[in-house]
Amino acid sequence: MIELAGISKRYPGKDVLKNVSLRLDEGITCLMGASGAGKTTLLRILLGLETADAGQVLHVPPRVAAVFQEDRLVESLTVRKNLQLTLGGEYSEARANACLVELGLDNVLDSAAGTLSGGMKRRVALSRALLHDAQLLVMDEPFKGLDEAMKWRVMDAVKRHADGKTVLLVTHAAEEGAYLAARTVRLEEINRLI
Amino acid sequence: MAAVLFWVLIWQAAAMALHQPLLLSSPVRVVQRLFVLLRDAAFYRAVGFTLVRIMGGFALGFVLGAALAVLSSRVRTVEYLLRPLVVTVKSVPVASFIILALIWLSARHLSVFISFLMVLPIVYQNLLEGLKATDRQLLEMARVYRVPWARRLVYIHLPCVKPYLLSALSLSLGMSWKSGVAAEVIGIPMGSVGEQLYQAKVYLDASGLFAWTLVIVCISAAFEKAALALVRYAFARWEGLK
Repeated sequence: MIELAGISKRYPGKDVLKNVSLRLDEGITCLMGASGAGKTTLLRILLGLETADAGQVLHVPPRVAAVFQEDRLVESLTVRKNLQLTLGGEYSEARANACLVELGLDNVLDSAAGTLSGGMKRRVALSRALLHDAQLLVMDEPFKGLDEAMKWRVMDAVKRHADGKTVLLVTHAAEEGAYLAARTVRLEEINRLI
Repeated sequence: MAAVLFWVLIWQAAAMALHQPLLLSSPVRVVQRLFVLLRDAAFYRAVGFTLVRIMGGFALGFVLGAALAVLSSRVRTVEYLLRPLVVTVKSVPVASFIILALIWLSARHLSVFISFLMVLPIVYQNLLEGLKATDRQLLEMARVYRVPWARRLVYIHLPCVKPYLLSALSLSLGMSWKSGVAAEVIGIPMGSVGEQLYQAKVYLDASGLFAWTLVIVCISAAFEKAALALVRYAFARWEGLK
């Protein structure tokens, strides 16, 4: 169980999070909220990319994977190299191929990431996270830019890979949370901003 | 190529109009002189002498400049400490360094030191700029995935640094030849290209001076083209695109 306890964060002139507490159990938890509500800030605090002004993040496991709002791929490198970057010695061609095929990507390992379409890049970023075998998987709008049919296919893949992991999914689309998550939390309900 | 031919024709016309071979040798005479040089074993010894030293200085400057850039990108204090040195090396006239170095070193090793000194700040500044320009979002991603530093350097920083590296290579190779030969002309080490240029000046051998200059320009350009092609090829191979 991973816990965000009493998290507060203030940017100059604006309180973003105030005394936010959230417990993440094994399985998928969906975090929803309006634009600018502080979902990404909370995610960044959970990932250790930002420091909370108050509160603590407890029991974060050593292996963490993330799908950011941006694809964050090294565009000049091939998909293979992008996967090797995060996987290092654990990279396996067979596993990578299987995961990419599962996400509807055939024969892309030798393509430069920068030459792929937006939807393909998104799925490469997803495959990077799914292949990482992390105990905590954090996903910020992971299905953004995918067409409807592909979105459901990718969501099925995420569901399969989420087994035994703690997953935090941030999305605007209620149907994504309803399909994938065991629990949905609205940030406005746990954020103690007046 | 047509532009080069145009200027060679202008040069030939000017030499013919001036009709003073001591002041301005014609391209035809320069080429004739070059063929005479190419038949002489001493020519190759001089080129070898200078080439080894200038390339040695270049390699030292490149490696140390790159290492210091990596260090400065990680430790701010190193960058602050090196800044005045880099500014000094860049702004002090190369002739001052040459004369100063002549007091410390034998003339034979002068071009190694001078080309090293000219290459180092160019490589250091370019690579440091490239390292600083690395995409922060990629670095954040690597932090989350706990990518080791060495892998981050190779997979994230290196692709970002590539254009800066190519620019540093191009600039510093040209600079190392210019400054290295200038050092030899002042230090006059026996059997160097610089000594040949000096002799051409002493004996008012304008065609010899032009021929040697042409040799330096050709070698410098060949090295620059070869180095850039090699690095581009190595990058393409490594990026998995070749």
